[in-house]
Amino acid sequence: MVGRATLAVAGAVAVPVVRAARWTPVLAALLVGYAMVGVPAVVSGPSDPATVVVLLRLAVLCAGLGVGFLFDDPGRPTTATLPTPAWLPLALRVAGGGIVLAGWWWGTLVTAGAVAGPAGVVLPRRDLTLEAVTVVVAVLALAALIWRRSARGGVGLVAAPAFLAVVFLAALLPERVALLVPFDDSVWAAAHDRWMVTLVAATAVALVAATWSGLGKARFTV
Amino acid sequence: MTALLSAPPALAAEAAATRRQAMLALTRFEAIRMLRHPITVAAFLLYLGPWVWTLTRPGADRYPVLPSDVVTLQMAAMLLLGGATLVVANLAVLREHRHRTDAVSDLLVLPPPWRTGAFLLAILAPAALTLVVVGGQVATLAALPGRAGTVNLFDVAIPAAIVAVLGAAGALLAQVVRSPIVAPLTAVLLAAAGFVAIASVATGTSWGRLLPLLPDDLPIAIPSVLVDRPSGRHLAYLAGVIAVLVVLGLFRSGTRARVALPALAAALAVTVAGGAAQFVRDDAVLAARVTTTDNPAPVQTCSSREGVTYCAFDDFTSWIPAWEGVLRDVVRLTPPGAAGSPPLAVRQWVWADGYPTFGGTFGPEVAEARARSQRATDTAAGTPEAIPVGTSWGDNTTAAAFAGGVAFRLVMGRAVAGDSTLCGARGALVVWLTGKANSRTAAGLRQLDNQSSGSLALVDYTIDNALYVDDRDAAVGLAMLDRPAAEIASVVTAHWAELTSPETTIEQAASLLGVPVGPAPDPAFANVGCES
Repeated sequence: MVGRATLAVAGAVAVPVVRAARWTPVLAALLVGYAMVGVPAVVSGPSDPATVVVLLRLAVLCAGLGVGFLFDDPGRPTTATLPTPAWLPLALRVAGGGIVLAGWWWGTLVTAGAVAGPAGVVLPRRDLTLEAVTVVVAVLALAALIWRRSARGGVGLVAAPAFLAVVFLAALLPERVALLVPFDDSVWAAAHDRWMVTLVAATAVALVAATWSGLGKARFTV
Repeated sequence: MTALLSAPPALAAEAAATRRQAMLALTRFEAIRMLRHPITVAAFLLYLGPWVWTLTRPGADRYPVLPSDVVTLQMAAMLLLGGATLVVANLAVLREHRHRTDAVSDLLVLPPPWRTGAFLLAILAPAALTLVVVGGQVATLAALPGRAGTVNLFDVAIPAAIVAVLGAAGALLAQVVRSPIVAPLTAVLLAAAGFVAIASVATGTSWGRLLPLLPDDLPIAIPSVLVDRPSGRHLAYLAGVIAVLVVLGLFRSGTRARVALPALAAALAVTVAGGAAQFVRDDAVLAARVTTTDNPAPVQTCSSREGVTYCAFDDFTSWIPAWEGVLRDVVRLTPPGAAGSPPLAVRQWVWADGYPTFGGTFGPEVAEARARSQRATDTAAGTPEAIPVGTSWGDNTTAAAFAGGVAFRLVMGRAVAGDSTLCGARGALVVWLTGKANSRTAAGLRQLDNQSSGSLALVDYTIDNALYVDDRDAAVGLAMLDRPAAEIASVVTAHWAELTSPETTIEQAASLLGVPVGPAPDPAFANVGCES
């Protein structure tokens, strides 16, 4: 599917595509998300790990609001006719966003460790990273579904409230299938198996939504 | 040719009338768009869906305490309805910018301040819908036969004011920052602040009153006579905040400073006055809390049903039939005359003063003093050894804690007071009576067993006393529940005196009942301070 020509195009459009993405909402969301952890680090003493886990989840929630804006592409009507597959510039934007998000998450985790103080060693960094990655991929899946239907490239402003609604529904899940379990709860490990399942499902939805062009759609050919 | 540039007065008046009509037309249009916006529809469904489910699901809590439930509704309304209106109003004001038509709008007959006014007026639509929905919810709760407490009408209006505040904030944000990310981020920040405010009520802080919602000052339900909620003053504060946001929005879109600045000053004055007034405490109510926590009898109504006296706070008397049901279910399991004398009684207590937050006093001396004062109050009120019950009802664990209190009274001949730890045969018997009474207490007992470690705690967290059963003895009681009911019941009836005697060890009781008992613990770890 990915031929040499596609790779050549990707190399040529990488820089312009990343430059054309709307970075301001993404960066604003990441800044507010970092503040969720950074402000307690400055104003209050060491917090217990359970509180730090809640703060990190709030930070990821803010980041998730911004991720959808990576898909915003006001120039989409003008690029729809190009031979480049539509998912290619999208993949480049997501890759650029992924690098920024990875750096942000590393910084946020380091700050969270500082907030937790000496108790920070018990922070389940691996499981929390799994949660963060799942949330980001879930927003990407949601945004890709919206992006398929948006002719004019406005994705983030629909994805952000839709993501909030999804988070609210996730918080309502009964204990048997809960995702947002408190730190040190007996179901923490089982919940993180469910997070992994969610990650796989969200990845599949994101990939299909971004690349699938419809089954057996009759194309008009001359 | 010379043109006549100044319009005659009649024309100016006509222009103003036309503007007003155009503004109202725009308001109507925007209001309908806001109401049928997918985000608004989703928010109202997400708001009402879980609430309807908690009220209609099997085993639902049908005993709401209105003043506390209203606060829960306010929090949910701020999160969902308020958050949605914030985003929807923000998107509505940003629409022109999003579609790059702001330049076109400048050519319209309606000047920018009037257009902003139309958007702000349109926010009244979701606010009015919120008022209707919350009013319906409160009316439904108030119609339940098991409801307790009275509702303050100001509290019913607060969610609508919250929605108006957040809507006006969304419109103002759109004028200041032209990005659709700001509104959802603000909603998240506000939600976080709301949770912190409600959680930190337990630490005695009250800054949460400056948020749109009005948190309670105690984490437990209390009778109406002890409630000190500045709902009216909070509503005035919210009105002030709405006025400030509206004036700022109009000023930003070009209203003259000559008009805007005095209006802003007046709005700020209302906000500051209302905001400060909510922190004024009612000293009479605070004093009443202290005396009522020590001695609730003077503000209670007692009624006698089938030889048992039930004393409840005036607005909680609707719970008496439910208490009676659990009490009967426990008494049914015991041989006739097990209650002995004095006759059975139930008294409601409230922990309105000194609720343990981060401070509080603990220790055996404090519990002992508390037990003495409880006995003195009950004796003076003519209901000696009354079984205590708290200000929460409707869930399984509270029913189990109350059933445990009734069982304690029947087994020990006295009421739970202070901190009591039961050991031996009597501990197992109390656990069995609690779990056998009915399906609710059985489910509650399992929940309390899962929550507690060391000893099984049959505790109602709204009152200041606790009943613990040593884990090894409780395990025997739980094992009795798994055996055929008729077999155990006949042994209990036949050997009541033996099983309720302090001399009977758990091993003797277990062999009598034919259930296994765990190995004896190291004496160093054994429970000390067992009830004698």
